[in-house]
Amino acid sequence: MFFIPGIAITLLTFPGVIVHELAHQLFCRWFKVPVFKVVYFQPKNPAGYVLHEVPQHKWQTIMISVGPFFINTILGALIAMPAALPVFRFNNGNFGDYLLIYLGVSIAMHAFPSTGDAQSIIKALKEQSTPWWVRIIGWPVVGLIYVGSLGSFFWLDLIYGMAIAAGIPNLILWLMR
Amino acid sequence: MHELNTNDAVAQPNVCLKCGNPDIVKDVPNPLCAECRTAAIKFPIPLWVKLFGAGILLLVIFSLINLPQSLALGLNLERGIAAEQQHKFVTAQRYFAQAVKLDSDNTEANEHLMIASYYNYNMTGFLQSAKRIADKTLDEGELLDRVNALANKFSYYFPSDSFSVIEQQYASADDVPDSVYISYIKKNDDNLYAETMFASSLSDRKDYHRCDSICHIILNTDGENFAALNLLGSDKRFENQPDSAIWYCDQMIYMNNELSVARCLKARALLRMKRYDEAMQLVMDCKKTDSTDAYTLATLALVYHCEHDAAKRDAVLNNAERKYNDSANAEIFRYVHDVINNKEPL
Repeated sequence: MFFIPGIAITLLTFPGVIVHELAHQLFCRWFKVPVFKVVYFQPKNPAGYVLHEVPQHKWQTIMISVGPFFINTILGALIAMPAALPVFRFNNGNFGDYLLIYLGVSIAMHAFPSTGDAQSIIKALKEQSTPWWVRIIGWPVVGLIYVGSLGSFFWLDLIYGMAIAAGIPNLILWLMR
Repeated sequence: MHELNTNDAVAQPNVCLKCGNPDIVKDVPNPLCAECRTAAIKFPIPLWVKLFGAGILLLVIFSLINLPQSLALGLNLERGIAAEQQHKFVTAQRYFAQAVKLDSDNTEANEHLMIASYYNYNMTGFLQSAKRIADKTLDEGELLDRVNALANKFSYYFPSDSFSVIEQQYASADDVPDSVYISYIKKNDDNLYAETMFASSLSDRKDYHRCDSICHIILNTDGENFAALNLLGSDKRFENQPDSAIWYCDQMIYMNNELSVARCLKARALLRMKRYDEAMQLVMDCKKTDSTDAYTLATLALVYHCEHDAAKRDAVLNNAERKYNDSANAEIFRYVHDVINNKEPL
């Protein structure tokens, strides 16, 4: 395992950071939560963030935190899908196809919520007023976020991005065959 | 990528944080007037982010135009590979041909089409695919190894230059004297084509014993040789050894379980053993794979003949002859008429 500074990865995959923050913002908008500041990308840690009000319902906190997981995954898969077969299956991809794969992988690999997102959820879960069912869902989500964060040391985020970009079209083919 | 909340704010003023309006919305964490709250909910997305999104969307739309063709190509390839793994090479060839139609330069589709064509004994198809990828760089791996192995065997089915010179001296391969064959094979013992032609000539003259010997010599070099297995599957039946004939047919069916000629040859051996139902089942399966195959229809006529169903026999035979009786199939139909007229054994 070779070491590449995180900031280099972030710079290289900046489209994913932008989409990640945009996903937080869109979830805030859908839940009518006021947003005070959005940094879509900056070349330092954190590479992006959304400053918003604490939502009225705790489950909304979870949804806003994990929103990028769904948006980045779906968008990454959609973007890479037309290019995945020429690049990964037929070995005849053109420049546009490789560009789409780069975008798809970049976006999908930033699907995992950050530990900062997890801390927002933890804070909400620790409050007395949080319903039991939100805690049941929330704690495993927090656990998964930390597992994902730990996995990023072993390129789990990149592996996930590649799997989404290359795997889904091939899975569709396999299911349809 | 941190998400920050403002509920950590130390002091909560009684006026709107943004505009100072004292008419703030109650029971919410941050003091904002209704107007500023709505504006914050609809926090504007900057133009450059919108342009960035539009750029990606445009790229996706352009790529989506090619997606149906890519999916169709991928599906035909996957379905062909699945059929190939089950040794269903007629089905596989159909899918690979479709894939090549969609992208004639696709090396993987052409390589698979070569394999399927070979196992369907379709050497013209094999050659056509080989020509399409002749100047292409092929990925090293198991697929290329298989193609190369079959390409080496390909020569077994075509005359060498030296044998062509001999063949041209006679009207047909059957007219080449045995002594010429023997002399040539002694000098060129690796020339399977010459051995095959000699074996075929002996079979035509009903010299089954010598034909079988040569076929076994061929099989010692190429255990998958269709021509030799085909001759043995046929000869053994005429030698009244239908069990043995079935064994050779099964060798071919193992390699390609959709090969009509092998299944029909087996059906004919079954007819010899009076196992009519099994023969009928086999022929019907063949017809399902390819209802235009003259050998299948001729065999079906033979099954009806054995079942003493003259009406169906004649209907199938007349229909098949009307549609498919060309120079290539004339011998097939002639044999059926000879069996019906007791000129030839089954």
